[in-house]
Amino acid sequence: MTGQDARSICPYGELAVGWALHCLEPEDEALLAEHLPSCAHCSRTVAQTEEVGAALASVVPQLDPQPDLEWRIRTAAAQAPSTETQARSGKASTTELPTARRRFRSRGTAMIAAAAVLVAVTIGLGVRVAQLDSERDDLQAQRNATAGALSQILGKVADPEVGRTALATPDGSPMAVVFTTETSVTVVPVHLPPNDATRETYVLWGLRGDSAEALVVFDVSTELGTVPAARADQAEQTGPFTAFAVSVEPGRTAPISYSQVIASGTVPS
Amino acid sequence: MRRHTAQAVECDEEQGGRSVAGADLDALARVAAGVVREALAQLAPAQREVLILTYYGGYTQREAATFIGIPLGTVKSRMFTGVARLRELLAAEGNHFGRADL
Repeated sequence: MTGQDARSICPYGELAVGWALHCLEPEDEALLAEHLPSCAHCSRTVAQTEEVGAALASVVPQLDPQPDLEWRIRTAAAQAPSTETQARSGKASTTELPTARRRFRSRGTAMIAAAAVLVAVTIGLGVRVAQLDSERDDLQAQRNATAGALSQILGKVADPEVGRTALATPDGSPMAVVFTTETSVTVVPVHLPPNDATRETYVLWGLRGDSAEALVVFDVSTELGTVPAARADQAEQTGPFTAFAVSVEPGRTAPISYSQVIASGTVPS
Repeated sequence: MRRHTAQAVECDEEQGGRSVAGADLDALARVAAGVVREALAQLAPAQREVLILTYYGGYTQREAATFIGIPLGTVKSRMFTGVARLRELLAAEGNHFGRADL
């Protein structure tokens, strides 16, 4: 598998790589499924790529689900003073969400993808509400903003100084990854289902000591290219959070406390 | 369509022969994460971008192409060259690549 040479041997060489990394489109997958048994070259490319995939897997953090974390954060949030977000919105709410909203795929995996990037919302200590319009005229602006956030994440993945916290449901299904530096917190949804941005929003919470802070309000879109992304570069220290959690909240602002945590994770020591 | 996780590299003889076919996963699992991160960092940004979106993000090649705003064929090409480059970088670090060359 040596660059152009390998592809010149068999025109399906590129598909073999995608096959091994499980990212082919269904039609390409069907093509290669038919081709692979009769092509030793592509079979070797698949095996070689799977070796690389195994190495890449070593980068991702182990999940450490904490079933009791929801209770701990709920308690902490109830005791927390007003957050910046609450003060800004003036619309605190603790309305319970319909249970139907909280549906997740069961993946049963002990690993979580560390850098899934569709929505990337980066903040400093303050809260930036991601409210980019999804209208057509703003599409390019959103893409640019998302690309900027993506660029940040790509740098973080290879940076051993960046902290990573996997957020999972109580049954262990990975939902998001939180990247932390001394001055920023970035939440990257991995398998969060799309939300209805007209009536609800996701909120990332940080737990520090006895308090929980609403850190980021963000949406997950179903349509690529219309994903909102917002970031704020603030020099203030975020301080060490001990855990993070994501909740879905009615309305467009973070309430004083969350309705229900759908994924959480403790910060690795 | 986010069907991929890091776990997908595990053997599964029942899924159309998509086994690792000789790859020593136990040995590969011992590859230091720091070495892999360093190798990722040495990739061309365009190659790293598509690999991260597809491998870690679990997006299909077409989704990655849409997201980045490039043709699907370019994503395929970047993935191919990116994986080849990663193999070179990791092999240079003394990792146990090569069983699949047989």
